[in-house]
Amino acid sequence: MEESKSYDVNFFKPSTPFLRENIRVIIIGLVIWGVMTYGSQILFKIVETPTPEAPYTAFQQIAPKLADGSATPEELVTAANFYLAGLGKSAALLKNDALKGAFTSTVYTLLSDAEKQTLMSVAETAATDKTVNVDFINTALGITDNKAMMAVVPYALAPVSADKLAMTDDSLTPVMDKFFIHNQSVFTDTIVFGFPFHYLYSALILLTAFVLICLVYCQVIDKLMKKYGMESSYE
Amino acid sequence: MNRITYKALSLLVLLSATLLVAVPAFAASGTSLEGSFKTMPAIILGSCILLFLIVGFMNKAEGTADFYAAGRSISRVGSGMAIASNWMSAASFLGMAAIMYGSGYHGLSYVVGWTGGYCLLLLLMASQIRRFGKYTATDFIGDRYYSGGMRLFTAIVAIFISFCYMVGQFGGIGLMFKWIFGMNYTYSVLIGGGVCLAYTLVSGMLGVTKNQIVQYVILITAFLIPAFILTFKFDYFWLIPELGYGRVVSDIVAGNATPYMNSLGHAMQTVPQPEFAMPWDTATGKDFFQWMATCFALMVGTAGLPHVIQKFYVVPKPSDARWSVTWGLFFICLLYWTSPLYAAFGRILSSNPEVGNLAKDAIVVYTAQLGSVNPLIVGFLAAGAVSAAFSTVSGLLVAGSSAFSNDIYFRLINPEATGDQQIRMARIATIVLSLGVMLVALLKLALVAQLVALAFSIAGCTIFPLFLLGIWWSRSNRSGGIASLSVGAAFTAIAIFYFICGKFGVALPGAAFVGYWLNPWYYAWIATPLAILANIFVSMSTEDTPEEIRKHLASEVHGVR
Repeated sequence: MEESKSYDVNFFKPSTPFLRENIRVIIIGLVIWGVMTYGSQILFKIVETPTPEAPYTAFQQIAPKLADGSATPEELVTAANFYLAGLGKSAALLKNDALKGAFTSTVYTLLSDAEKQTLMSVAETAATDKTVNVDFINTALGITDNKAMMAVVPYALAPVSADKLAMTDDSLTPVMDKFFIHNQSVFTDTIVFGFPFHYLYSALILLTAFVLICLVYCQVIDKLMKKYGMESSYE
Repeated sequence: MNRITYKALSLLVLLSATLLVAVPAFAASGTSLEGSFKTMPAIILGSCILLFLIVGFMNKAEGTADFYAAGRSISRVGSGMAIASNWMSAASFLGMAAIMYGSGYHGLSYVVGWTGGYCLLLLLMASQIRRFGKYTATDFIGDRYYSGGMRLFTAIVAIFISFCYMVGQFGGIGLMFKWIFGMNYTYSVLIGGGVCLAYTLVSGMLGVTKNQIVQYVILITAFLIPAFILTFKFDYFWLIPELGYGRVVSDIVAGNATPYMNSLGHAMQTVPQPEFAMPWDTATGKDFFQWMATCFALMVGTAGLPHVIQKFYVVPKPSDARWSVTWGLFFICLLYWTSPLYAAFGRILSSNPEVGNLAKDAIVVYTAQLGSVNPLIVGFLAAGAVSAAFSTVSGLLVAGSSAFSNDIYFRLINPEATGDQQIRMARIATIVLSLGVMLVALLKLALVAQLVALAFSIAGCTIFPLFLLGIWWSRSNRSGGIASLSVGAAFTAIAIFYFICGKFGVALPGAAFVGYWLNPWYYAWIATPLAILANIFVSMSTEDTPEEIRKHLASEVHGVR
């Protein structure tokens, strides 16, 4: 029993000088590795604040006015642009009929009487034919120099009957919260090499650090092996 | 690398040069992403497979000893490349970009997890495994925990891990065959899988390591060339595309206008999409916990995958095991640094609603197409994806079938089996295994990277704890090992059972809870620590490990004299 004790191996109770040094190197490496990987993400999490996109903040001022019909034409343009930006975000939102209805209703309210009739027929056509001419909507919304927004318009229209115009819809609030509020912080807003810093950190810096940790560890351990004459049987 | 490998590589360069010069007629049609049969990509793919076979025959191994000796004549850089190609599969090549394309920053947990795991592996295990001196992961566990039952159970787990891993690969192969040959997904999986199976059966005993070096060179070239072209073409910093795409990410976040078009004639601009880059954005449906859990599960899984661990047994010296991990990680990072580039370009180039929904797992190839990269190079990219999947699948099939023929058939069913009988069993197991994988791949259960992530969670909560405690704590004994393996297996069973029931619409109590906390992609976050604890508690309350094993561990592995 006395003799068998000496063959015990325990990471936290190294029994020989070699093991003590070896394990110290491992622990230092693991701590650097752990802090860089998980510590950084925890830091991002701690400092972040949910930040709405600018159009969303603007829209929230306008929303009550849309509901009671007191919105000015400029405010209607802002609201329609906001809906359109939302629809452009994802294919899932392009299937959201409430959102498309709100967009179409807002644009309808905004247009002149003659254009209102055109919109009705265009919205019908757009259901099947996305090449329909929507230039008058682009002009009304002031997006004629924004190709990304213009591309969404034919997909954003929904047939709406004139007596059922709904420029807001309560069911949209959670959807918009989900897509327009982002976790931002000084790390996400600082641009380095064109990247938002946190993205650069996780995608490039962290990976480079992993390679360096391995490189340094290999060199340190090779020296350690020589010092204690370990692995000499393999030479 | 030796002369033969150089010859093979120059052959490849010559071949690609000829193709590039000879086919100017094959210009970008630019109207459709899918289309029909693509002649040149098909030829490129065929040439790549042929090249692997030629290299394999030129380095044919005569027997087991030669098989291992072949590994010993290879430099650290070379075996680093072999590690990288063995490691990088369709999940790395196609899957990571797919996750980032769909879920933004959440995808980076895969990038970080699949690289950071190598630190864990190197620091805690690589040279110790080599010094322990066994040949396979099942051998190590069977000997260290002095139990035939443990060996058997680990063999079953290893086969199961190979299975899950390969389902993802066959999905990727199917998508690429679909793209190249214009068939539907079902035929693509069957034909692609069949080709892969034939390749494995033919190349079973051929020079694996040399082949993997060639495969690495092909897949990394195929992956990097379009990255240079895309950044150059769209006027980003192209000398280091890995830095150059940063502006693309910012352009997506801010919705900046660019003066460029995609190959379909749409503006390369999107409405502002901060959800693409902001951490754990609600729009992606993935939160902070899921990021951390996925990252952790993939890391412990990396350090517990049998086919990764086994690589260390075939290097001559423990220091080679360490250095080849470092080189391997570097070569892996060459691809991982670049992968988010495809997601970013893909997002901005496909932002026009008219592009429609693209199969996420093929986004790497679609991105190159949308950026009107020369179709030949896109074809080479697709061939690279198939090579990545092939190299990993053939390794996994060999590992899975040899686990069956050695650890199950020979030790359990027919101990009198001759060598020929064993080889026949291994062949049969290869065929049965790949047929099973094809069938499951047809179900399209999840994204390629997610299916592979399941294999990592299994490895992380079953094999990793056994190696970790087996190496660093001599007190860990057979009972502890059994307890730890049971905990890991129980969590695996629960996670998979709930996942499959969910897929087929069976409502189970607590499905939402299990789906979030014990999701099959990352349940190892809790299963691994619990398996380790189970090992510790049960070991403490049962009798000590036999002296013989403690002595071997202390003197051979840790140099206690």
